[in-house]
Amino acid sequence: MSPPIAESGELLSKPCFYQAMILRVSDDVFFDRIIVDGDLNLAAAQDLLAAIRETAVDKDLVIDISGVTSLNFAGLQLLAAVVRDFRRGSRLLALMPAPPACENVIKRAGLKAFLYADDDKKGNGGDPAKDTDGFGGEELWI
Amino acid sequence: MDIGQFLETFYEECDDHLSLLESSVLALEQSPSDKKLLNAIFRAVHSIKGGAASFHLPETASFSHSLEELLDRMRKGTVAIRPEGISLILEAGDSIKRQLAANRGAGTIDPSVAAGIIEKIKSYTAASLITLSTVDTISSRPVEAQAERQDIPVDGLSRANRFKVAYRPNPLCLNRGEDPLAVLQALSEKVTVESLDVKCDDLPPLQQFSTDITYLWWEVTICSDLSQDALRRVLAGMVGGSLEINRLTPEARDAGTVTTPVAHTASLLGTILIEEGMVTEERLVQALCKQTPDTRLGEVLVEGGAITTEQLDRTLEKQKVIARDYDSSSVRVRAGKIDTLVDLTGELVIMYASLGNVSDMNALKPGLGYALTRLGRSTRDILDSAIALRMLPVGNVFNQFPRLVRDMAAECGKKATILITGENMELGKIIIEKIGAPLTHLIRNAVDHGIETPEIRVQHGKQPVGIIKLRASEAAGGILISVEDDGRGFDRAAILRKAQAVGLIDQEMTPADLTDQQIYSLIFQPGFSTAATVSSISGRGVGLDVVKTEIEALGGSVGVESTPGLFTRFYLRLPSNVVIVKGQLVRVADEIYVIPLAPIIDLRRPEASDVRTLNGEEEVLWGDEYVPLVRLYKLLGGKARETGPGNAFIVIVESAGRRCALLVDYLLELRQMIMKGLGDILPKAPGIAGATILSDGKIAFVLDISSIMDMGLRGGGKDA
Repeated sequence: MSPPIAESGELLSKPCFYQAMILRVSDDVFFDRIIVDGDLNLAAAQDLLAAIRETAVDKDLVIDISGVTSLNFAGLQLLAAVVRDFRRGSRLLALMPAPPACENVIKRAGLKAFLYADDDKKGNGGDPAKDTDGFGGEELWI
Repeated sequence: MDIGQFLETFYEECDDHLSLLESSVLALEQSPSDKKLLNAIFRAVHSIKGGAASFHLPETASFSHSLEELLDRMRKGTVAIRPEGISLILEAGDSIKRQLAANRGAGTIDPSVAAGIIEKIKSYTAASLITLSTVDTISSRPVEAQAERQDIPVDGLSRANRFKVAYRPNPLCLNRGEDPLAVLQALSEKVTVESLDVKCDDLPPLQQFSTDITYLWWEVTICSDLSQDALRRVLAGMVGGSLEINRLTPEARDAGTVTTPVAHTASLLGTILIEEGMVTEERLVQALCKQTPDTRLGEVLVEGGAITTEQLDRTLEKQKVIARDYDSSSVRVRAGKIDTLVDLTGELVIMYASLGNVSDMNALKPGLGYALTRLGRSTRDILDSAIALRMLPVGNVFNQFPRLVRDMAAECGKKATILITGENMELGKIIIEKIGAPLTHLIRNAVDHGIETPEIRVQHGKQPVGIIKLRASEAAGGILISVEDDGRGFDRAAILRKAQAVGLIDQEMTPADLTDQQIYSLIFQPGFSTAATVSSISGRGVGLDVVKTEIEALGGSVGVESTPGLFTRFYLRLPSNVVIVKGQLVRVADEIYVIPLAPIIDLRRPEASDVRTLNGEEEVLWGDEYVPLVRLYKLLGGKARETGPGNAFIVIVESAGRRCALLVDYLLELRQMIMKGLGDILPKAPGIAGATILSDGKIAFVLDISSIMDMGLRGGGKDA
C-alpha cells in the first residue's frame, strides 16, 4: 500500500488514472526509490523512464513495482531495458517483485521473472549464499 | 456402488460436451471438410450417449444414438454435410440440452419434439446418401473413414512439422495500436509453441531508449501440421512486422535446437510401438527416413509391413488415452468450496491489515518486522491465488453468441457474422454468470436493429454480410467488453422524437441542442425503444435499461458511441471480480468513501471560476464542456470541511452516457480492497453498493455511482 502523496515524495506521473502513479522518494543518501503503483502502460512507462533518467547517477536505485496492477508491452520492455542497462553499469538496481498478474505478462513474453532483490540494497534481505554477482539477494535476471 | 452420486458430475460434463458440440458444428459449417471438427462432434455425442445409458436415462441415450449414427455416416462419407444437416445437428443438440435440463428438474420435455427430430434425421439421411463422386454438397469431399487417426498429433518425430519462426515486430507498432504480446498469445492459440526465446540484444542503453520503439523480438519454435507455405499464410494474417519461417530438420532437433520438449512427448506413436515391442528402433528409423511431410508414420509402417492395420489402430487408441490423461490435469471442485476459501482469505487479509496498523514496525524486535512484511506478502499472494481459482475466461460466455447471431440473422432475413477477440481474458465467476443476459441483449439489438438487410447494405456500398465485433480487453480496474456492429448507427433525430413522445425531454428541443452523449443517454431510460415494431427478437424497449442496471449492479458502467451509417459500439467496463474492488478513497465530511475505479474518468481540483450556475443547476468546467456538479456531502450527510471549488476536489464519473462531477473534501489513495456486502442487517442504502474494511479497522462504504448520479441529478446534491 502506498502512503498518501503528501507523505511519499514527489509525484512524477501525470495525474491520470488510466496509468500508474509514479512517486519518487529520495530520503536516503545512498539510493533513490521510485514507486510505481497502478497500470504500467505506455504513458506510465514514459513517465517512469523520465523519472529514472532524473535520478542521481551516483546513487543506487530501487524501483518498487509491487503495486503494479497491470503491465502492457511498453511497460514490460522498459523494465527489461532498465535491468539490462543497470547490468552494464556500476549502479545497483533493485526491482521489488511484481505481483502475479504481471508475472503472467512477463512469462507470456518469454522472459523469466524479474529479479527479487532486497530493497535495502546490500543483500542482507536475501540469502548471501545465493549472491553470485555481488548485488545481494537472490536474483532472477531476465 | 451407487452411481447416482456421480450424476451431477455427468450433467456438468454434458454441459461441456454440448458447448463443444455447438462451437464445433458452427465451425464445421465454415469448414465442412474438417475431419477433426466432425470427429470432435461425434465424440461429444458418443460420450453423452454412453453416460446417459449408464445413468438410466434411456430417452436421452436413444436420441443421442440416432444423432451419433448420422454423424458416423457423415464421418464415413456416406451422408453429405449440407446446411440443413448443420441446422439439424444444432437442433438435436438443443433437444439433448432440454432433455438433460428436464432430468435435472428444470422444465419439462415433450417426447413428440424429440421424435420429430429423429424423423428429420432419418429423412435427411435418406435424402443425403452419396457416392464418392457426388459433389453437390457444401462438403464435396467425403470424410475419410480413418479420420480418427487425425485427431492427435501422431508424435514429435513424424507428421507434425517443426518450424523456427523469427518474429520481429514493426519498430513503431506500438503507435499503431499493435501489441506484440497479443500476437504471441494468438500464435500460441493457433499452433503448438514448443519454445519461446525472447531476444533482448537490441535494447539500447537507457539514455537512448524510447518507449515508442519496439526493440524486443522473438524466436519461436512451433509444431504444426501445416506446410511451410500454409503456415506462412496463416501467420501473415495475424502478425505485423517481419516474419522469417524455417522448417527444422530432424538433425536440427537432434542438435538441441528445440530446447523445450513437447507436452505430449509421452504419447509419441513411435515410443509406444517400441515399448509394446511391435517395432524395433532400427525399423522405426527406417520408416522415419521414408516419411514425407504428406504421409503419416503409421501409414509408412503399415505399408512397409512393419505392423498391421489392427496393430496401428490399437496403438492409436492407446495414444488417445494417454493424451486424454495428459489433458485431464484439472480437478472439478464445487464452487461453494472456493467461495468459502476466498471469503476466509479475505478475512485473513483484513486481519493482517489491522495487525499492521496497530504495530509500530520500527519498534518491533529485529526480524519480527521483516517476518510481518513477509507474512503480508504471502497473505496477499494467497488471496490472489484464491481469487484466481474462481476466475473464468469470458469465452465461456462469448461461445454462445456465434450460434445466436447465426440463428437470429436467418430469422431476420439478414446476413451477419461475429468476430470474437479476447475470449481468454478472465473475470470472476459471479460476473461471468451475470454478463450473459446483458451481452445477449446487445447482440440481439445489433442483429435486429443495427445490421441492415443485405440489399440495403449493398446500396450503401457495404458488404452484404454485417459484422459484429465482440471484444474483451484489459482496462483500468478490470476489463472492457465492447459490442460493435457495422450497421446503420443511431438516428439522433429518431431518438429525440421518441424521447419527446414519452416525455423524457422538452418538446422544443432539437438535435442541435443536445450533445451525442446526452442523446445517447436517453436510450438507457426504462421503456425507451425506437423500433417501429416489436419483434420477437427485440424492440420492447427493456433491453438497454436491463443492460445498464445489471452492469452497474456488478460495479461496472456502460457507454455507447455511434456514427450514423457506419457503426454502433457499446462498451461495458467491468471490474475483474466482485471480491476485490479497486477504487479511489475520498473523504467527505468526516467519513471515508470508496468510488469504484470503473466509472472514474478524471480527478482534479477545479478553480472557483470553473463553476457556473445555469437554470439553478451547478455545473463545472471539465475540458471544454460543463458537467453537472453533485456535492456528495449533501447526499451522504455530514459537515463538509471543504465545500467550495478551489479547495475541494471533483471526481468526474461516467455511466450509461451520463457524466457528472462529484465534489469531495479530499482525494486519498487509489487502492484495492476487499468488498463486503451489506448483508441482511443493513438493507441496501441508496447510493451505497457495499462496504470495505480499512487498515485501521474502520468501515468505508463503497459508492454505487449510478444510484448516486440518479440522486444527485434529481437535485439531491445541488447547492441550495
